[in-house]
Amino acid sequence: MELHEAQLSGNWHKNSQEQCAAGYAAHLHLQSNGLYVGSSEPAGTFTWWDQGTWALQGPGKLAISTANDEVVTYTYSLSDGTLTFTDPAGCRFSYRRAP
Amino acid sequence: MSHLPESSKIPPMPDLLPPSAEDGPGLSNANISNANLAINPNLQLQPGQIVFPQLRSLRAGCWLLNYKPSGAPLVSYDGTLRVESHSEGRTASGDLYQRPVIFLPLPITSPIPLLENKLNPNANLALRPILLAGPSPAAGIPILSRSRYRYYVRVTTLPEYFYLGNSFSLGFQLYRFTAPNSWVLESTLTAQMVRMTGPAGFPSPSDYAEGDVKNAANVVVGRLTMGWLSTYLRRCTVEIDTVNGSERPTNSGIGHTWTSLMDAVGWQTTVHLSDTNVAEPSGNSWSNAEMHAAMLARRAVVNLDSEWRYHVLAVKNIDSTPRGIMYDNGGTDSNNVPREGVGIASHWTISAGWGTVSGQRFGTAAAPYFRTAVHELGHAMGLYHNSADFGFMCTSDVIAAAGTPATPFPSNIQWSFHPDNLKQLRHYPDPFVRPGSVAFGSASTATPSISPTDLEADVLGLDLKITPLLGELPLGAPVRIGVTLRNHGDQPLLVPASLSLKSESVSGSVTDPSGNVRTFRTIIHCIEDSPFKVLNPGEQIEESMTLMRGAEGALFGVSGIHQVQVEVHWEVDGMLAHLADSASVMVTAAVDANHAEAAHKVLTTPDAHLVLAIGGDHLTDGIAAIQAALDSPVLKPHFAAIETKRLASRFMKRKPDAKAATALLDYDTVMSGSEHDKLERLLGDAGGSLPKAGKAKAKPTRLTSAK
Repeated sequence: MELHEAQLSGNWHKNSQEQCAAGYAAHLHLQSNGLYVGSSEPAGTFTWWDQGTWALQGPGKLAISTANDEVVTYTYSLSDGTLTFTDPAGCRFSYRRAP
Repeated sequence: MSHLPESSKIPPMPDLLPPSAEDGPGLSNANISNANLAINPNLQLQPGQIVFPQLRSLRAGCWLLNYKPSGAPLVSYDGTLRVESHSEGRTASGDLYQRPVIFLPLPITSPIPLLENKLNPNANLALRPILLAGPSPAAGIPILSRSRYRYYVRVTTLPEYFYLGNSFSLGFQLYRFTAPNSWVLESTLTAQMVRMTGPAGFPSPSDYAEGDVKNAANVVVGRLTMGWLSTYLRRCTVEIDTVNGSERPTNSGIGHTWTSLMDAVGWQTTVHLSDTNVAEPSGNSWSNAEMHAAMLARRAVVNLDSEWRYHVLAVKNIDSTPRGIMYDNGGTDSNNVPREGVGIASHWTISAGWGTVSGQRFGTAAAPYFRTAVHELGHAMGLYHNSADFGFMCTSDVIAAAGTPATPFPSNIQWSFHPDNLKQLRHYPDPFVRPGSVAFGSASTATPSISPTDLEADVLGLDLKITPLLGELPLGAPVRIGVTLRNHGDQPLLVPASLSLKSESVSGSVTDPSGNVRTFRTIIHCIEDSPFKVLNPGEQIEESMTLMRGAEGALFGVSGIHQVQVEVHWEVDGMLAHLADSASVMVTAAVDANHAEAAHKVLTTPDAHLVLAIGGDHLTDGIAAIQAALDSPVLKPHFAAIETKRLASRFMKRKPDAKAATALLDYDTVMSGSEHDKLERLLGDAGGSLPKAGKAKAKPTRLTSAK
């Protein structure tokens, strides 16, 4: 679990254009202390991932607190620098690791 | 001048208010007496008597607003205007709701009903529209029906702290709202408001004003009334229900209460401590849907169209989050009414690493527990997370992680909203903040653009004056404006060294005959070694500018009266010094096909403006457009100086061509003072000389002593 957390920490840029993923942050900074900051494009627009906590819930499960403070569990996979999420509604979208 | 028809239902202006001591803070009785003289034209002034105009201020707080458009007697909008006074200046905004009209059957007026029915058998079926009464000022800040919401009022100008006399100018934009969340800037308006005695019911009758509303073409389009209601800006109720065993989040334990926190926001807040025995539907932990159902079942009877009531439900645990949630945002919202309620969990065990409250049950840690309730209420009021400080919309996790041994959590909690969130709570459109209106996630500071924070302050002793070089111009011609900044005070003042449009200090706008506003500012950013200079008493700076295009396109693209506004801003001790002046120019229509074609070309070629600004031979489209203008006898006088400047300047390997440049100039050439100076220098350097002055030459840029 700790290994996975280390792999997920860092900056991620969304590389999905799906309409269902529009409400997720364009840029995501997963901090090693379990906090995260998300930002939207254009800046100032609403995103469900704006600020909060993230934690692994088990294999392939990531819990992220959202804009209304609800903690939502997403399935995820990590492969070749691409972090792919599937939300509870079935929307699948991905991020590329950024410097 | 009023354009209202004589049959208009708009009442005449009431009498002017006699000045009173409360209106002029710091004024002596003698001055007040003089102010009486100043507003009474029938009193004879004694020679040598000094008359001090009345100083007044626009009172901060909530004003009852009414706007009646002209020519539509059954259309009336009621709402509020929020005037905030803060350390940075003033900010004001408002909201308008359309007053309902109902239809009533026409009463039978004939004393002989049978006879009347015989004459008109449908008489009893006729309907008469009735405009209902507006909100009573005696009832305080009005709460109006969500379905009647029509406009956000974005105030753009209002008196700075004090104004002289009995009237003041209000500038505002009306943003039309269409559900679920669409906003369109419908009109930009001004009103010259005149203070008068308010009708019965207003708590402070002297804080009342009325005025005609005019559009950008200076046509009266309606009438505005405003009367002060309250020092608060908005009002709401917070109802708190709990399950048995959960604490009520009512205070921080260190002096903060709902009332004290919301007072700081400017919201008049009533706290309703309600049930403490809400039943648990499925054990200690609640789902979002269960909390929503409990709110609907246990909340006091409420109509969100007559009360802004937010519901706080304290339960032991929440399924979807450890501490608190604004659950009412969509999926769980069985009544499709968003942002009515929040939940907070009293029995969460506070995580390790959370300072002095680690390991405690959340409900027993008053400060973080109450803070979380306020945070969730902030979400219900449309706010998002904000980590710019440790205020209410930052998350507790971030604040806890930022604790230090010297200032451990929760003592590092900031018991206030971040200034951005404060502004949103005070000046967001009603649908963004009131419960049951737009969905969570729909609020935005950009759509509609919320009222600007007024950091501007007028500088006493300085006057800005703009003068069009020509008051009337043909369609397609650039407009040359002379700008003068004068120190008429008795102290030297530091002012921008340049009033050129290349200066960062200068910007402006042009309002066309239809009321469309287009802005302009520099397209060349110059780094100046000395951007300021001292302007001594009696001195003035003169400059000129040539206007063609702005960010939104051609500034003078149609015929008719255009209003040009020039503003100068610069920073002084964190405030923004501000000067502005406006003038009108008349653009005449195309006189023939040749003129129309040339105007068409320059108005639709953005590079023509760049040729004017930076010259050179590389902007071929722009040069071609200017050449088309030069081929038009009507436009040639207005473009000759621009082309002369280009030809008289070196560009890469091309040398200045003084002969060709000079050949373009004749007696009719229109040029500003800046252009005159520059051409004189360029032609002199190129071995030529500037011919005799044209018919409309402005003064060159220089520092002079005012006459």
